[in-house]
Amino acid sequence: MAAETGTPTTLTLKSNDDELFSVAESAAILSVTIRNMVEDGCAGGVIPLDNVDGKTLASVITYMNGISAIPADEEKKKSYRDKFLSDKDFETLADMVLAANYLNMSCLMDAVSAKIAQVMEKKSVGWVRRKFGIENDYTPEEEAAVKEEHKWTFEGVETDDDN
Amino acid sequence: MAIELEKTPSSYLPFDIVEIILLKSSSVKSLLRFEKVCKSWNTTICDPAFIRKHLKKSENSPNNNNLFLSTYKNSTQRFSLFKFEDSRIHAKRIEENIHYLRHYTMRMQRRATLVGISVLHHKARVVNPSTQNVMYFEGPPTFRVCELVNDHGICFDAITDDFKVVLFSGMKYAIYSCNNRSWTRKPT
Repeated sequence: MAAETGTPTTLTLKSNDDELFSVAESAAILSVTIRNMVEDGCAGGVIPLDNVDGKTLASVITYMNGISAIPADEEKKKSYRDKFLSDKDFETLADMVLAANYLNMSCLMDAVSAKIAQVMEKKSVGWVRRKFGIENDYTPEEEAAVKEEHKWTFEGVETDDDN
Repeated sequence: MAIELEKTPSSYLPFDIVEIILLKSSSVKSLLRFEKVCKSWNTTICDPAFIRKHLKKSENSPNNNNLFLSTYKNSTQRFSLFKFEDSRIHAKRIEENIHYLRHYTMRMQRRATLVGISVLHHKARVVNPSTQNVMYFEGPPTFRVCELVNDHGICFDAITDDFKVVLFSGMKYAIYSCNNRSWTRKPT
């Protein structure tokens, strides 16, 4: 119907904390999950996205709109992605990588996971354990042996209370 | 005094996503450091399948090249590595890695694509500057001691997942397979 009148189709997305967002279908179908729903004809009403919170969804929609406004120019898209992710902290990036995975958006998934890898590069083992919620399961002897094996990799690491 | 609560993501990342992130790391140094995070990270990072996938990704990265050549200076017995890119040798030395060599084990991991070789007195060593690993091996048995190695190079054979060292001496050449740890001599 909307297509006949020439106005772009708009979808309504609902986050898991019940926030509603309107987004142009042409931008939203960057998500394969949403595209499949549209193609299956189940995108008529509100599309519930149970694994994404409102704050993250708002960010993802900003990205969808931004990237789909750029014509097919990989260089420009890449520089948009770099700029879009440049001011995001680790927690935001972690939420976004989960959302990108759930929404099946490969371009966002690639960019965010690469960004997280880049953020981690100079971080200490302690920082990584905290941010990823990992418990150290080495015995002190095992840990010392692993550290000894690659001693040089602990040089130039950002200072942290636990290297 | 206010206690600053550390922010955490809404939920911690599942391991399959962690693996995707680790594969994106362009720093082998960081990956090796993160073996210490926990046993499951260690298992993943050391897994040959992971190393292969990581290697494949770094081959596509513009920062990496899959061939390094080296020359050695007789006088000092030091050697430098040269970047081989777009069929041209860039005399960009990455010698800063070399001083580590003495301290590291003779274990060679097929990780990342940066590998160099030096040939000294019929003994050769292959160095992986990404992991700082070094592997020593004897020169090809068919080359006489007095024979001069004119040139040498190293390449990664993606089909057999093997690093191969090629030495030239006069009209002969010999190929060393790092996987099989053996030489194959070829006539002209």
